[in-house]
Formats: sequence, C-alpha cells, structure tokens
Amino acid sequence: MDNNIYLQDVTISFTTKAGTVHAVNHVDLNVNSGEITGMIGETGSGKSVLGMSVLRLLAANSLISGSIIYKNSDLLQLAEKELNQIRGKVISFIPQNPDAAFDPTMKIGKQIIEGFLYHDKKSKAAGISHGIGQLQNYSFHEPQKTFNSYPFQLSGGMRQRALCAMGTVLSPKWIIADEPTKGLDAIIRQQVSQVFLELKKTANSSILLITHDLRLAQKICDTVIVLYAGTVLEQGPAGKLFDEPLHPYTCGLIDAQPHRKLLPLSGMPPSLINLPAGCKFHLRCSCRKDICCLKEPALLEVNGQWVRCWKYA
Amino acid sequence: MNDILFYLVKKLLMIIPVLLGITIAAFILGIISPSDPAAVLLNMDGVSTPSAQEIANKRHEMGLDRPLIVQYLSWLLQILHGDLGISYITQRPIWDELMLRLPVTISLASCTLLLVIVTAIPLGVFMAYKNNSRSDFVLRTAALIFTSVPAFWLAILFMWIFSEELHLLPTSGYGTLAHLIMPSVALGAGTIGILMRLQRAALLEVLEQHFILTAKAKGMPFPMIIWKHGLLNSLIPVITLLGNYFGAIISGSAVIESIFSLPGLGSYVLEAIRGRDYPAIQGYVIFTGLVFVLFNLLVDISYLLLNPKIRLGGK
Repeated sequence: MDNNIYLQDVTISFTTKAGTVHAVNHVDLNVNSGEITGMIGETGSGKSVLGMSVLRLLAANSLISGSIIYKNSDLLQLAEKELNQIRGKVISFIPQNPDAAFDPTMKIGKQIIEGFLYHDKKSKAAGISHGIGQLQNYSFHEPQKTFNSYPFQLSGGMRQRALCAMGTVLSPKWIIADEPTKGLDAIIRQQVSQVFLELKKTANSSILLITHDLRLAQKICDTVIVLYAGTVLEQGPAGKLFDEPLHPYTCGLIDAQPHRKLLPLSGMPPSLINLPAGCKFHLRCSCRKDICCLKEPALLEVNGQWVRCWKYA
Repeated sequence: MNDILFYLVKKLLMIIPVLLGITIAAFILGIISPSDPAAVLLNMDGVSTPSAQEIANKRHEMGLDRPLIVQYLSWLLQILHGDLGISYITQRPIWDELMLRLPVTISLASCTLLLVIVTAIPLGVFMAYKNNSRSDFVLRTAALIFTSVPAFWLAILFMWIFSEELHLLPTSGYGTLAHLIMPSVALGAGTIGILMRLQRAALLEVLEQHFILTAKAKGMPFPMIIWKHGLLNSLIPVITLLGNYFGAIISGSAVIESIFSLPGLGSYVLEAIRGRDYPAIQGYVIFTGLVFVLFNLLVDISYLLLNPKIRLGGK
C-alpha cells in the first residue's frame, strides 16, 4: 500500500447569495508521496480550496463530491472522529494568513504544542521542550522567548515561521502548506524552503505546496500542478515543466515573472459563477482555435507531462 | 507592569468627567423640581402656611438665592465630604439612609449578576455549539420570552407559584438567601435572555475566524476547540455589554425591591419620589451612578485578564 493521495473527480462548489461558485471542477490527481508537489495558479484558481478539502476544512456552505483516497480510505467519507486522528498527526495543514491563523489570546508556544499534547498524550514538560526545539529548527534566535509570546508580539515573518513549526510539530507523513512563504523577505523565504527540503529528506514527509511563488516551486518541487479556474491545465516534473512549458497558460505564468520577461497575462480569470464553455482559458489564450470555445480538451500525456490543451490533441 | 498601571490610571481618570456629569444631572433635577425646597421645609408639619417673607428668609438661609453655579459648587463640595443633605421626609442625613440600604441592594444585584453569568454564558455557548438545531431554536425562543416578559409580572407569577401554591419561598422580607432567590430571578430574567443571545452570536462569530480552522486542522474535537479557543475570545464583547446591562439591573431593582418588600435603595427611592423628597432622589442618582461607574471599572479591569493585548501594551 502506498502513501499517495489520490483525488478522483473532485468537484467543489460554494453556495453564495450571488450564485453557486464552482471553485474546483472535476480534478483527478495522484499526489505522490516522498515528493514535494507544487500547486501553482493565480488567486481564485482553487488551489487553497483543493488543499483544504483534503482534510475537510472548508466552510459549511461548501459542497464536495468525488473522493480523496489516502491509504485505501476515502477522506471525504470518514467519520469526524476518524478524520481527527489523521488531521495534524498524519496529514497536517499549514494555513495561509499567519496574522489571523493564531488565537490572539493564547501564547504561541501553547498553540504550537497543542496538537502534540492532544495526539501523543505526552507530559506538558516534554511538550514544552519539543516545542522549543521545533522553534529552533525554524531559526528563531530566542525560541524560549518566542514560545512564551503572544501572536501580536511577533512580526509577520516570525508568525509565518511559527505557523510552519506548528504544522510540522508531529512530524506528519503529509504536509499541506498553503502559501508558506507569502510576505516573507528573501532570507527568511530561503530558510523556510530549506526547512521543507529537510523535512522531505530527514522526516520523510511528503509535501503539497500551494503557492504562487513560481521560483520557490521551481527550486524545491519535484512535481508541479498548474491550476486554472479549478481545473488542472498542466502537470509534470518541475524541471521539465519550467523549462518546456506546454500549456499557453503555463508559458504566460512563467513569462510574467519579474526575472523573466515581466510580461503580464492579459485579461482576468473567469467568473467562477459563470464558467466559460470549452477550455476555461480560451478567453485569454493567444493560440485560441475555434474548438477551444466549444469543447473542453482532456488531460493528455505529452512527453511525460500532462496537459489539457487542443494544441496537443 | 507599566502598561497595566498606565491602563488603570487612564481608566480611573476617565471616571472623573463621568462622575461630574452625574452630579450635574442630579443637581439639575433639584433645580427643575416644581416645589420650592424652602416652602417644603417650612410646611413639613403640613399645618402651617408660611408667608412669602418667611419663605424668602428661609431661601436666603439655605443659599437658594445665590447664582446656580455657586450653588452647584458648594453642593458639590458638600458631596465630596460625604454630605448629601437632609431628607425632607425623615429629617435624617441622606448619606446615612443610603448606607443603611446599600447592603440590601448590593446583595440583590450581585446575586442577580451571578445568576445571569452562570446561566446565560453556558446556555449561549451551548446554543452556538448546537447552532440551528432544535435545542438552539427552543433556547432562542426562551431567550426572547425572558427578554419580553416584564420583571414585575414574573415576580407576581413566582410569588403565586412558589409562595402561595408550593410554600417553598418567602414572599417578602430580607435576611436569608431564600429571600433573594425569587427577586434575583425576576430581576435577572431580561438580562439573561439578552446575554444568552449575545453570547451565542459572539461565539458564532469567533467560530468563523481563521484560528478556529487552524485548531480544526490539528485534529482536536469541536467541543475542545470551543473551550480552548472560542470561549475566551467570545467573552470580550459579552463582558463589555454586561457592564451596560448592570445599569438595567440597578434600575430594575427599584420595582423588584418594592414588590418583594426588600429594604434596599430602590424601594427607598420610590418612597422618595412619592414624597417629592428631591435631596433623597439626588442622593440616589449620585449613589447608583457611582456604583454603575465602579462596576464598569471592574469590567475594564477584567479586560486585563481576558485580552493579552491590553495587558502587555500591544497596539
């Protein structure tokens, strides 16, 4: 039995006053264990929603169909009690927005070791020393002091690192990290990416990295998934995907980076309430053909990469 | 430590203008009262009819012919010395009268407050936990009824059930805890209803926050998340409003005390109002104003415990 996470025909929508928001549409994915898998895309591409759905952390107005299989059980069907044995301990989730992700009335250290004490039933003293060691791993200079600080006493970068420390406190098999380097300066970003590489190597953790930092994805990911309007447009080994991107959208994303051509993608992502017919990207695509507006292409294998585009059909 | 001191000094200084405002309101009450204190005093026995000259002399003697601002300042000075004047009716110092009745009202108010806290907060939390279920709906309706029913009606209902029919509790008087049960419930019912709904709403709002999601991702069961992360964060707005509703308890106690014949401040002021005993009413206004302000100071102090940002001087 492998430790991969299999997403099968996962569709997620939200019921809102404005209408039904189709955040994720028929996603089939194998996320391989032992790897760092990057999930990239613009804001609203559904990458965070997809990440959160693995642990069923979505808001009450969400509707999920399909299945998410881990070790022969469907995470979407598990009872809450069984799921809680997986949350944090086997699969952990590092939320985005470190400013709001901590309880403002509880000390950082207590929040970091909370899950550790709950799952591993260790003594408080053991928890504290483990927590402080954990903070040390994330290059806190005064881990003891940070441990006893309240969230508002730390800077944004410190909170982000503390959040990573919290997500990895139980050395989980899987880590789903939602924008873990958002708002960090270059040096800290370097440290955090180092930590992920080390987690993969030493703790043998598998990581699903949700990010729009393409350079980070290029540097540390083994596999990269490109998401657009809740649909997988391209998937492949990181090296290949960044060197020879196949989908026009992936090309556009890469060219939009400051150290490349700094060429912004024209247009806006489509409304998730009224999704366009055909290929979801056709409105902004420079290689648009007639068929693109009519029929959505299937995900096809091209030279070891997977791509959803009529160019390769 | 310095931050805490600074916070407390700031809160204490803010009390001063509030207290001055209360004394001005009380003073104006005396001014606009239709009866002339000099005439009232001279006619205490109810037989003599004082002449205009006698009244004018008395007015001069009492300093009522001085400019208002001078009257106010000298009156304020008196109050600061603990002298609230003499009651028209009993001819005794009002300060002594109020101090005599204060313990009754304080014990009624604290009993009520305690009852409100130990019932409304747990019930509100339970409602939020069971959000939109049948028990939530039942409790929400109950809360609405508590809020809508007048306290005096509840008081009469309780007397009929528990005293007349079941002979469990005394209808009136003061002395034991049993004497305070019915008055406290009747007085607190409205506040319990409001606070239940408030606690429910505050907790539901907290449960929408990101850090609750973080806690869920740790795999802790939902009741544990509410206890560890939801409750404390939801208490801050609830405690704030509790400070305001304490005013309702104090003013409501006037009616309740007179129904249950509790010899407290409330029944005293009702008598004073009936007898147009303006100095006594003034004294009551100042006195209860002070109690209200002190209670809100207590609320401010409780923030120190609830909110580390205030305790540690965050922005």
